[in-house]
Amino acid sequence: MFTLDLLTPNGAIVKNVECDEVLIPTCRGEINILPDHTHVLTTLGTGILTVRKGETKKYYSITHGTCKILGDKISILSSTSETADKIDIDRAKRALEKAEKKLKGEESLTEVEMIKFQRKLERAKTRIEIGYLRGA
Amino acid sequence: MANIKDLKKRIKSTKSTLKITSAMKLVSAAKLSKAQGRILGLRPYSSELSETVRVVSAITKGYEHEYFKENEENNRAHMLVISSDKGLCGAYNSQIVKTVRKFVDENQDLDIKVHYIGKKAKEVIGNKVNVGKTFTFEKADPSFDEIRKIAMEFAEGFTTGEVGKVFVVYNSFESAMACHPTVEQVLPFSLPTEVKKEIMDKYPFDFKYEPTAVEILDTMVPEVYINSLFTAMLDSLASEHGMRMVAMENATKNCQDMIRKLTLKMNKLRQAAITTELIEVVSGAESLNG
Repeated sequence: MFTLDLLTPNGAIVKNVECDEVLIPTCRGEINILPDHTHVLTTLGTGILTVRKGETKKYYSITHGTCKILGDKISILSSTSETADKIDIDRAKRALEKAEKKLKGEESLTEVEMIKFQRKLERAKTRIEIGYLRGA
Repeated sequence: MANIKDLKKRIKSTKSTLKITSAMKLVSAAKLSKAQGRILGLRPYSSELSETVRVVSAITKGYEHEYFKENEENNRAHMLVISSDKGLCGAYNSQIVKTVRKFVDENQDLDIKVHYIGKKAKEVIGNKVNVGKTFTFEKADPSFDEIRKIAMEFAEGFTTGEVGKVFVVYNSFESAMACHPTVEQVLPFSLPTEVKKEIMDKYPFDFKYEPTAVEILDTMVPEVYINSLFTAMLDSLASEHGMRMVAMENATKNCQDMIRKLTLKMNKLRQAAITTELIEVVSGAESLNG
């Protein structure tokens, strides 16, 4: 058993919540955290954060940031995060289409725009995925 | 002696002032609750972020980032003063100005160039200190990207050696009633040796880093720096609305007091006039009856 903080610049999504298992998407793939884990500091990728407490699982979308695991405390700092129930799948689908179009489109993109739309694409994909997990 | 007509005029004008102040109070209250939500939401994030960087940079041996480099010989400094564009917010701007003056007086050996967000402070101290740029935003609430741009401008000045220090002066938000002016050194990040030792004692182990400590710190350190400016900005906004709300509440109360006093005075005068008229009528009738 350990506690989890999920903080974003727009507010704390989760604060001091007890959980049994956390699945964190890092920049080098997912890591699974169980109690008594070693101290870790890692950068996050875009993806789904899965938090299990007993039999219930909760899903959150997270984007770039860092994650600190210190003793029985996990702090996740992400630039944005949403809980599964707040995600609007239709909106995410529209965003996905738009981003795909931009990336495939004829208009030449600058490097900054390219990264921007790639990130948008990643975020939209994550949202849709979470949306389906919530439905399941 | 004031006559009834003058008093009526004054009451009327005070009433219209009352309408304005109470409307401004309501607007500020609404803006405050939004700004308060933003700053209170940001604080846990930014404190956790800077704490992590402090700890990791202390326990990572030999870590160097350009934002950490102390340059004692360089006595030039940038100072960003965050005030408001509009007045009528109590001591909000004046306490900022006072703090800047005090700081400049106490640090005569520093050659400080003062930059502004919000024009009120510039209006007051603009001719007394070395004036730099004034930054403006598209909307009243600056976005993170806008702050990032400003932050990067200062960081560039710091890394190229143009200045040795960067300060930010802002009103730190405590509650709707209280805020206090703060001078914060944002660059370089100073981590005194005793603090470093304290951290080393507290964390006698190292983290497992993914990818590497240096790479993580390289991305986190600029984040902390920009975040400290962003926090200062949001602190200022919340303080401004809070101070304005309080100032307008006091003004509204004063207006009500004034109206009450003036009305009383007017009624007294009117009663006196009626009495005089009555006496005149009665005495006139008496003399006719004679």
